[in-house]
Amino acid sequence: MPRPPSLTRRDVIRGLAAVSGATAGASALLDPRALAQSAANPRFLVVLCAGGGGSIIDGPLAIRASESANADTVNTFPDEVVTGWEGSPFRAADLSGPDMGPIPALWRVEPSKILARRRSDLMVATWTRTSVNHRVGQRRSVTGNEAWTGRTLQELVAWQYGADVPIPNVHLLAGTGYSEHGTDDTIPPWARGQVVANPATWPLSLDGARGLQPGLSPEVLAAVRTHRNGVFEPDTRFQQVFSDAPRLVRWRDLRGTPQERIEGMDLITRLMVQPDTDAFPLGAYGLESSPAGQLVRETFPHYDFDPLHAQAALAFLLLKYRVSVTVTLGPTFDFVFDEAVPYDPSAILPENSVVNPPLAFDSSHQAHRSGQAVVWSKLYAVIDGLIALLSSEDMGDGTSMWDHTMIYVASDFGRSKTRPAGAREWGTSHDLNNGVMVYSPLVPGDTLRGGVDPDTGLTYGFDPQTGAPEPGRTMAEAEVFAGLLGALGVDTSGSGLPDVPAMRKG
Amino acid sequence: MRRELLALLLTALLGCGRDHEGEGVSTKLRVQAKSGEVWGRDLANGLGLQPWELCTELGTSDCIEDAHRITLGGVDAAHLGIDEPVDDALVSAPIAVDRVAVSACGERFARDQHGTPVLFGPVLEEDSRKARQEVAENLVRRLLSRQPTHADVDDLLDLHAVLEPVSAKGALVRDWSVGACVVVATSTEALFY
Repeated sequence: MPRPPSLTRRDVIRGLAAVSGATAGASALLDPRALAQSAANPRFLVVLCAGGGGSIIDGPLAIRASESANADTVNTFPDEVVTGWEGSPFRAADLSGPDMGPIPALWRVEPSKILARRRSDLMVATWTRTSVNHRVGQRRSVTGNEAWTGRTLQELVAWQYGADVPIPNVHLLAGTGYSEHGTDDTIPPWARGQVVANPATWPLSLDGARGLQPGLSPEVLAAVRTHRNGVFEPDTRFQQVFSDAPRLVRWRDLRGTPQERIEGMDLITRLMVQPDTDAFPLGAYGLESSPAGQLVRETFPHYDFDPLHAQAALAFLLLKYRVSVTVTLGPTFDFVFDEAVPYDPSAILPENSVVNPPLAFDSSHQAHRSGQAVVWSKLYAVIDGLIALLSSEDMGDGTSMWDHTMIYVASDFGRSKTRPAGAREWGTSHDLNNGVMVYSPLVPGDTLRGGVDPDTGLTYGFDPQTGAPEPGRTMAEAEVFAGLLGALGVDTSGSGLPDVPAMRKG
Repeated sequence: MRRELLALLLTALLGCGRDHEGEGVSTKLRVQAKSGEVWGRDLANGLGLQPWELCTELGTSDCIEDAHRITLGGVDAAHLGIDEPVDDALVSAPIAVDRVAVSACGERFARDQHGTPVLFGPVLEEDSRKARQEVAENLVRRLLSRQPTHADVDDLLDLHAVLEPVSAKGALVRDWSVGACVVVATSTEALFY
């Protein structure tokens, strides 16, 4: 029985257009030609997850104590630790402390250094969320509370810009609401997120023959696969009975063009972050590190023990080699310790040896100030590294990859705004009120949309058209979701989403 | 009209006497994927290996338990928060499956070469069509837990001619043995239920 030909991505889009009754020009998402044009001039989305609840007033919207009528009981900072810049709405609080709540670890952070050079590409937009449940909040941060039939930001970017790349939507942070599939079954299969659980070993799953000793030569393996797919398997009773089962159809499709593209791009090499070492003996198995391996390892030096650095290194390679157009990453909830920090006899755990507290931002339940400071600082460093790497990648038209990229820092929700009078360390709960950080040349830089009431620590909204701050107004999740899509140039025709020009440049 | 009715009647009568086996297709199409752990256990049993002997990436990382655990449909609630297998097969899953099978079948062949043969003994003793037929039958019995059909065996025997032009000099016995093993071990019948 001859194997039926796989549907191409173009076929899928034609089918979707037919099912939806779309007419020519109705939506770029349903027009193969428009998608081909978008793929030729892609935009890239990095979703950097502030898991556990990154509080925007502990980041770029820090409040100086002198600005607040309730400085002792609201989450404010001593004036002397807050750095600001003339004409900029953003601040950075450089802090240090003797412990992280119950963790006896010295810590010191200096986010001002990074914000000083990166704030020109930073926009903060305030919003008020609809859930303080971690998983629900995470999901709604990428769906705008299911604003567009449950499609995620990542799926939409992969749909619009990823028609020509092999794995458009990669999730390097598994097991969170940020990485769940959307609820719209009409999303093309290729735009769905693909989970990568371990950035170090995942590239090994991208070639069926290389790196196995002894294996089969690529030519022999190709012949074996062809014989299996086209001769042996179709003759089995199992295949004949269940040939049209969706899982088998999917499996058959993956063995076709996707497999050829993945192996044809030599991704087992290009995406290999790890160097050739005794512990990871690539050379002994005929493999090698990525040509850009040293560059990403220098940029994210904790790649071998901090999951976020390993994710960030692979995220860049996925974008650089046009494997993906959107990547999702973020700190895990695991305790991460840097054993290379020299022993300090005056401390139980030396300064900055804890690079990720347990539960990441959610460590704020026990130690808000240190937890927020350490994890924000960790995110700033990753943002800084990604911007540097992407800025060095030439798109061939005088622009860099960074000119086409958005780093969206998505958070579960905010944190409560108050503290015991004068407390230097305290615990906070989850709070609906917050804001998002967006780094990108595609958004108005060094710009705050909305504002913060320094007397309460609560953020307020803005006019979606003009961007003018509007105290008393709060921004819905759908509005910020729509604003992000607008900045990314995703065609939202027919979605019913509001237009939010204030969140895009030009 | 009478002629058409007669034709219908004849077809029905002839059909009653025919063996319908082989013609039916499932109407429910309810197929589940084996997790890597289950498939690996079946593969290990079939090849007479322990599960941890099937495949080790770079000599350090167990393919099924560690390196490709999630890709192969496994879970890791403790470390990754993944407490359910992914809904749809991940894009690299078929490649990872091939990788494990090439490694495992190669391991079986190497052990049969240097020790008491379990599976590939007949072709190692004398590479002939009869020996290959014996191996092919055993591959299906051991890896699919059923009796081989004529088509199974013929298809696996035909692989020999397919590999002849692409196999390196002196490598055809191994390439066919490992290749036939991979064909059966990674067929949908072995991977799904």
